[in-house]
Amino acid sequence: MTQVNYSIQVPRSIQKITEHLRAILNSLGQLSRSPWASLLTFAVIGIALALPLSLFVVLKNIQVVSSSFQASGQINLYLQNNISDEQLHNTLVVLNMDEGVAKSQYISPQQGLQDFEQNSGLNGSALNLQSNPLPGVIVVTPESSLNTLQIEQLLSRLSKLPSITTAQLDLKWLQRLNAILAIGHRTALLLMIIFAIAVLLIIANTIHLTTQNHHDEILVIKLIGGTNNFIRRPFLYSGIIYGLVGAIFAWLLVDIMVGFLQNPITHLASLYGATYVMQGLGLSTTLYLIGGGILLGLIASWLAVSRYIYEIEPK
Amino acid sequence: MIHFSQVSKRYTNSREALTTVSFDLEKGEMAFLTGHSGAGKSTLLKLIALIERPTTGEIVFDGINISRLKNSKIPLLRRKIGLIFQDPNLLNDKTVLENVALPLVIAGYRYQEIGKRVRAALDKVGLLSREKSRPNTLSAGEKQRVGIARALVSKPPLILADEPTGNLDPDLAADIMILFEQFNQAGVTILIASHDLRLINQLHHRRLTLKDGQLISDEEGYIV
Ligand SMILES: Nc1ncnc2c1ncn2[C@@H]1O[C@H](COP(=O)(O)OP(=O)(O)OP(=O)(O)O)[C@@H](O)[C@H]1O
Ligand SMILES: [Mg+2]
Repeated sequence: MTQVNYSIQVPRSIQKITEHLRAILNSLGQLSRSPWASLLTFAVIGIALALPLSLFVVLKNIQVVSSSFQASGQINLYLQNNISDEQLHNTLVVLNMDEGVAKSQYISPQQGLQDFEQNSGLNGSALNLQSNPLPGVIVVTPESSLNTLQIEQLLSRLSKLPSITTAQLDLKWLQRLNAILAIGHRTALLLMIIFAIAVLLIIANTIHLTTQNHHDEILVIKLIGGTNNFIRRPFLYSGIIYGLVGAIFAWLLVDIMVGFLQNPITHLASLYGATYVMQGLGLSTTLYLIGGGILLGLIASWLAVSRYIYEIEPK
Repeated sequence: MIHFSQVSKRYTNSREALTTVSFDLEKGEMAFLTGHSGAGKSTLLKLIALIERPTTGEIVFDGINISRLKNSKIPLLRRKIGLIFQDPNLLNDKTVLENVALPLVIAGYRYQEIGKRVRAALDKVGLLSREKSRPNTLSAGEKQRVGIARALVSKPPLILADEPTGNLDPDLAADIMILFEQFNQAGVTILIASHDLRLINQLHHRRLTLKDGQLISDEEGYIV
């Protein structure tokens, strides 16, 4: 009579599952009771997550585009004056053995002068040159797989070859762009942290308000022997749902943004004779976004409910 | 079942609500706790359910010293106690049936078992027909009876009732007392705080009297 009869209670594992289902239903009930407020919260969380993400996506696209430009970076090797054909031949052989070199082309001083005359519309007589002032040049095209650092290394290797006076890399603009992109990435990271904290606060505050609305229920459940976990669980699920749906909202927003920019970008690329398909978030970033949203929701609701439960413990 | 030894309780920024109270309540006993308003009746009940903690002294419940019980162990203690308050604290967004079912849901009972037990408890307090109603559509007396059903539904070994008949007319109050006596006969220990001396005098149970936080008398019950 006075003893709890465990045979009429459900096995532990099934009981756990039903408790979780009950908590999920409970929190869905909480959310659907004020659908507009919930929708608004989802939207706010979604926008807050989408802001840093869209910056991230833009940066990612700039990087992909610029890396396709890397292949066009050329190294000009200026030769010493008066080198013999044999010396030139040796240099070319050694140079072509370097695995960073895709192809190389020798431009003799005469050739160089002709090119110059053609491009400038002036001829040697007009310039009144007694002798050809141009050195011989080897134009090296690096392997397209090389990144900027590897190209820098290739440059320093080539500059040490015999018969070479200077090696010049036509990539300064790319380095500058990469430096700017690095700042952009830092900024995106910083914004992500700031907006993650904002989302944390939004969810914590929303859950805190919900706990206040359920003040009586929480007190009653505590009085009749509900554990803190039992009380916490529906709120944790609410937090998870806020984070999850907010993340999905953010994903949709970024997706819409990418779709919106696709046409003008394709047009711009076509002006350069290229085809370019804008990159979206990608699978792994999407998974990080969803996971991050869930984690933020969980942490925020845990903090909000735990603080609340602590307040009503007997002192 | 309950053992108080030299228990005092002082709320923060307040004078002592209970002063060195000592008594024993045996398993299966039924007793009244009386005293003027502010004497410390509610405080004493709250100490047993660990809604408040004693300032000094020792409380043993069911063989466990609860004075220093960890917060995480309180839920299991409370599941052994049916708590009844003057304000029954019902949840208005749930039906009567759901309100009464709450202790069983918390303890993880089977769905069918919950329905069976809740209806049995509602039947005992005469409210079976109102199982689908919301508490805010009930009268004060009906609410009180729902609160009693909720305290009884999990068949706890101890019932603590704080002014359980405060909102009830004399006939209904007497009915509720008979209900308590039935439970007591089935072996449940019962402690009822009340200043309804007329009702207490009709029944001949043990009577503990508090005055300004001190236990001034402990009269044995007798059979008429
Ligand atoms: N939470 C609290 N904080 C501070 N003082 C309190 C608190 N609860 C009760 N008290 C004080 O403790 C004393 C005993 O209160 P208690 O509620 O136990 O009295 P009671 O006998 O139940 O009275 P009543 O018959 O009016 O319900 C009173 O002086 C009261 O003011
Ligand atoms: Mg009282």
